[in-house]
Amino acid sequence: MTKMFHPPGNLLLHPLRESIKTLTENAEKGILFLTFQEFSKMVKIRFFAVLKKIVGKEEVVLDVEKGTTLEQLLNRLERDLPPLQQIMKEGKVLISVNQEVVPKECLIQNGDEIAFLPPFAGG
Amino acid sequence: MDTKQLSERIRVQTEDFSVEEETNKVKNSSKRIGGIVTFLGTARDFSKGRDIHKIDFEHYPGMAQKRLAEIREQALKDYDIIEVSIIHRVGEISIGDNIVLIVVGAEHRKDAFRACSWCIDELKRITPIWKKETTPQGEVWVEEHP
Repeated sequence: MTKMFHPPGNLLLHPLRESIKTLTENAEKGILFLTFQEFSKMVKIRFFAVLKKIVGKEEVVLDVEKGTTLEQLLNRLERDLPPLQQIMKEGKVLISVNQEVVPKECLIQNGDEIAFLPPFAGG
Repeated sequence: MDTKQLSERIRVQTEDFSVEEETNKVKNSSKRIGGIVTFLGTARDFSKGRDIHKIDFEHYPGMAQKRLAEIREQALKDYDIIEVSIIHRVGEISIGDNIVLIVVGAEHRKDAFRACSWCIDELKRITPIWKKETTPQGEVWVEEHP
């Protein structure tokens, strides 16, 4: 089935850019069209409040494989960011995808915004 | 209610608000209103045995407003009330300054009191807003919901 190729703006950071370039060239010749999602997904991960300090980052953009669940992404992040693993063990941090708190089984989609939310303290 | 009216009732902002102005806006929203209950949260200078010099609030833009709008909508469904306004400040707040205002207008006081109390409890429970207190010992991110 023919699919359109729509690379996102941050494609230059993608490790598979050369493969994608080849595919794009082939696509131009009418050989093959693939979506960017066939390869991977770019997701934005945000850390708020105390987590920003603990993790040492406010935002991370990651390339994740198709079919990745939130739980798998969390495992990867905990490996890459050990301080996050420690605080996640306490069980107080919620995770939202596109501003909705979701279970860890949820599948990550291309362009999703994932946020780590420490205990709220408004009011 | 259109988006503009809703964004007037539900606000997350750095600047201060006028309790009188906000109360009048709710009062003027309907001639059926016979009672208004307000909750005003302010920055205190002492907490958990520590002096507090200032407070900083951080929020998740978009999600915080969405949660506040949901709280307003739920309160209007669950209580016999006419209008609700919720305003929360973010950024640096000096001691004694306003933090949060909830204004509930109803025909009768009992539902207005109950709804206002529920709104502030729910705000603390589900709204992605965080508080950092600056004390003589350093900065502390607050976790509890007193």
